[in-house]
Amino acid sequence: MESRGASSTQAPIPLPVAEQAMHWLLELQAPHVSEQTRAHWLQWRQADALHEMAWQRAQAFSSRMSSLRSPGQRPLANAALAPMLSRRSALKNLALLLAAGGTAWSARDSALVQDWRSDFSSAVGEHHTVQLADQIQVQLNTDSAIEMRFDPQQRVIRLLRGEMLLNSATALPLWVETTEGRVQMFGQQLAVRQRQGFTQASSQSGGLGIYPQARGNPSISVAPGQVVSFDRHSLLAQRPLRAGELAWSHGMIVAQGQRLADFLAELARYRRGHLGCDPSLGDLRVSGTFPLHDTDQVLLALSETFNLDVQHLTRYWVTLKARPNLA
Amino acid sequence: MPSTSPASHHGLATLYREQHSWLQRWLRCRLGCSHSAADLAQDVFVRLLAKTELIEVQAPRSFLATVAQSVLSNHYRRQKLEKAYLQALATLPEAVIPDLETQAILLETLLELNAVLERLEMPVRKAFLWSQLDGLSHGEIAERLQVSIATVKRYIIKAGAQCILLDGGWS
Repeated sequence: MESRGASSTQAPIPLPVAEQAMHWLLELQAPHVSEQTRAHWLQWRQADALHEMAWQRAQAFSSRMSSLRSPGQRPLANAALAPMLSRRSALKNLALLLAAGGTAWSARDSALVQDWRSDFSSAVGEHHTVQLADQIQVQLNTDSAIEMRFDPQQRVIRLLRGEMLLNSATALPLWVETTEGRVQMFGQQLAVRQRQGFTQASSQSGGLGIYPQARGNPSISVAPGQVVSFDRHSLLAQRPLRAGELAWSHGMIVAQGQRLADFLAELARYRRGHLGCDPSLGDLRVSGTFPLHDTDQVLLALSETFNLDVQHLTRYWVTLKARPNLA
Repeated sequence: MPSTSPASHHGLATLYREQHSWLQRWLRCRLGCSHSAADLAQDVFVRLLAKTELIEVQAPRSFLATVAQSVLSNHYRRQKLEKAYLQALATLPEAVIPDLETQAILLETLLELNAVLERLEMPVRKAFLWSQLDGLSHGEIAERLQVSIATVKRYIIKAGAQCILLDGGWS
């Protein structure tokens, strides 16, 4: 395997050490583990820094495998890996695929399926600017996808997931569609975010109109500088746009006295995996402007400001904890 | 002749300039799609960039074709796995579908596992997946494979060690 650039890896772990780590993992997974076995295991871990490193990897591996066994993941893992266990099962899968026909494909909206049918998409941590016809410019925030329907009468952009910022001077009616309804752009700028179960929209200039799907006409108009949330039926909330709320379009994230827990939830959108903090730290107040291109640096800055430890359980599971007080 | 890394990158630049369009055509013939051919040609050169040793360019085309072949089979493997994955996803009940983040991690894990297991013999693969994914006991696996429990453990350790050695993949 080729190295993936600067990672946390220092010296490579020799194969026999990796095998020993696996051996201990199996020993400790047995139903009854004797005190003696535990003592030997600890001895082995402490004998060499490489042993400890291999052990940490073995544990990360083991936790990854156990999440693979959860009800939502196991059928997927089985289906994906089954073909390598026999030639016959590969054929069986193919038969199943043919039997299932087109119907099985249409039902779900996973990120992968969306990327197949979307016109533009961004992966987690990416930020794209797309120039469309009519001087319409779309910026896609992290993990976002859009689809376009342009005809001579109107311009419709469907936001499949994530968040977008539109800048346009088109004379034609311009709409953004989400799961909950439609947003019409009245000015030159419009921000829309698809959230879990509702849509959030704002405009810094010109205002906007919203049409919740189940409500029908007329639209609800919203003044510039306001952020609204709505679901399929009605307006849910309205508040002034905070300064720096759209800073992602400049590659930044801004906090102004935000709760640490809320800030981390926001930051987590820009990286894969879990990002959280010890519940006792959730109410710490964060202020600052941080660049988004390297979220590890943001965590480092936070940890220094608040004297916290950044704990990596795996590459994808990061928790901020209070630093033990040594004094 | 010095074999420093800048020298080899210089060689790579020449290789790129002279052979890139040939490579892209070569890939397009095999893929039938110019879009992926361009991506994969890029992958080939990225792979070469990661190599530190001096690149032998006595027979540039056959050299490139060898690297491209492995990039290509990687690509097919990935496609096959993603297809099986998506198909299973479509049949999963709504309530247990993992969130998108989990799905992204899951797919990456599966690709890594697939790459590791592929290099191992069939009984080792079976022992590993039956124990780690299906949760069968060592005894049950021994019975299915008609081998001793000690052998089953050896198999699981062998496959698991390869996973641990994956560069930073799990931690």
